[in-house]
Amino acid sequence: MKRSLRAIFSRKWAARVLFALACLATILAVACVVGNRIMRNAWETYRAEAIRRGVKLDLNDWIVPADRDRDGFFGAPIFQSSNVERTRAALQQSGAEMEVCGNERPAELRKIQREYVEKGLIPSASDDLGGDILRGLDAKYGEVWTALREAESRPHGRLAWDPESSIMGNEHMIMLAGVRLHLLRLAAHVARRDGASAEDELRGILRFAHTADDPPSLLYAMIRTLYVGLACDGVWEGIHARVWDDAQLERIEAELRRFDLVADLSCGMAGDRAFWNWAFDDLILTRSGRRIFWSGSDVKEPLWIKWVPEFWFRQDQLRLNDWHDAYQAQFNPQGGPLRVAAFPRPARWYPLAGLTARLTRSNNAHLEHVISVQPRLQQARLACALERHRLASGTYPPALGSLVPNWIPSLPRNVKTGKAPHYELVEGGSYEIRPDLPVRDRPTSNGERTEGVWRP
Amino acid sequence: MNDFERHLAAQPFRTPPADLRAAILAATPAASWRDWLWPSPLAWAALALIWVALYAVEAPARNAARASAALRPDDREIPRQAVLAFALDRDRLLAEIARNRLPPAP
Repeated sequence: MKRSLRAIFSRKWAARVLFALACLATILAVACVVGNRIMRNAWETYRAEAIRRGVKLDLNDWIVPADRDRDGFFGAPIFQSSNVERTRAALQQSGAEMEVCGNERPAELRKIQREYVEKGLIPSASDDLGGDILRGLDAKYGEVWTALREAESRPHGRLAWDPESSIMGNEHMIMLAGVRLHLLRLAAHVARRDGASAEDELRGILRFAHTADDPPSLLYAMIRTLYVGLACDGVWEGIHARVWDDAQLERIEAELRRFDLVADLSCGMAGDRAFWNWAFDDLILTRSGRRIFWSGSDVKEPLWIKWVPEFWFRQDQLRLNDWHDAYQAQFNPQGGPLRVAAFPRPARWYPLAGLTARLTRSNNAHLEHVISVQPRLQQARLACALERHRLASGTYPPALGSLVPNWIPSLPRNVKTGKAPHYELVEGGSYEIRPDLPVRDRPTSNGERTEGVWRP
Repeated sequence: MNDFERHLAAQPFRTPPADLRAAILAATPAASWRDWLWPSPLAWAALALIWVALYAVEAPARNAARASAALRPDDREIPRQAVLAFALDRDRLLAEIARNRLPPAP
């Protein structure tokens, strides 16, 4: 026994083990070098072909530099870092009215009025509900509101997409507060039947949405979707209360027509693709910055990942780009219906595509969200045209086709079905617009909201 | 163990004669670093050659990849740390926006 042990630990055996290990390491190294070469060539070929197709793979093509022009929109004092904390503190003291996000109906305005009286923001509740709300908002958010209005008086600016400035969070926080303030004020003006001021508030909301024009990232597309969706609620408020005249409705419809949330989603996803390609290239060439891929994730970065050879990441990068190609192929530039089922599902996790699985897992949720908000935008446009028709002729048309071309240039199509929203006249001289074919549930009373149904 | 084996086991070992021991040990080759080059120095040289060749193949290809990812004349270098902070911001904001999602359509 002792002799066999001695043989195993002898110099002769140690030399044999050493040689075997050296051979194994050499085989692995050869495999890595060959694999790296194959995948590197595959990536270079793909990259050249994608650029020929017009795909913008370079992050530099998407960067929107921070606009620090002192006279520009984002050069306004409210966006300066020295003022951000003060603004944040002011907004954190907000009550329930800032959380409702456009669900304010006249009944809720009464509740806010009571709250303002209790807090001493207004001396007492008067019959002028809208006036009380406006006075309460001025008392509560006067400083922020004045600073926002000052920013809005400046030339248009684009929200920066610039890793070096990394300030968009503050800007979004301020703008979202601005959108909500505009929306509340719009509801107050509607309650006072002041159409011109309500239109002005609506324009303020859309102004914020335009800061994310041609969104360079999915994040910006979602910001824009959020703001536009809230603006549509404001349109609905005004139309329901019939406070807008023909010229105002025409302007509002023309303004809403400039937004295409589905195209924005496509643009934002293309920008994100460039961002992740940058991260992949950086990871491969420098082997640092791996944390980018795990940022905001519950999954801890695996320890072994720093030993992973280049071909592993290149294969993953190619898989991610293939996924994006399949995703972008579903967007029809002619505006045809989106086949939601044909969109690629999140990539499945397996060892050679770990990062792709991580990066694609939530994209379908964003797609679903945009698809749910786009009909709201279309309904708002149609509601403007229908209201214009009613103002001109005293009745709503029997079919949506009658609106073209006098009241709306063309009928918006449902992004899923490619058909115009379902429209029908209902008793009481009103109408319903539904994003899809007729559904079973109907609104129970005029103006009440039911899932997906507009009925003024 | 049988009787014969027990008998053998009881036999004391005798020390070999000193001159015989010295002669035998002198004839044995001394341990040297060459012992580690099993099975032959040539085999290890071949392995070393493969590693040199791998490096010669990989280094230029890596440099070429670095060059192809290099900045275009009007591009600017994007600092890595800034991008990391940026990515963290992006994910946080996306989650925040998801929380701010609109209620179901009117």
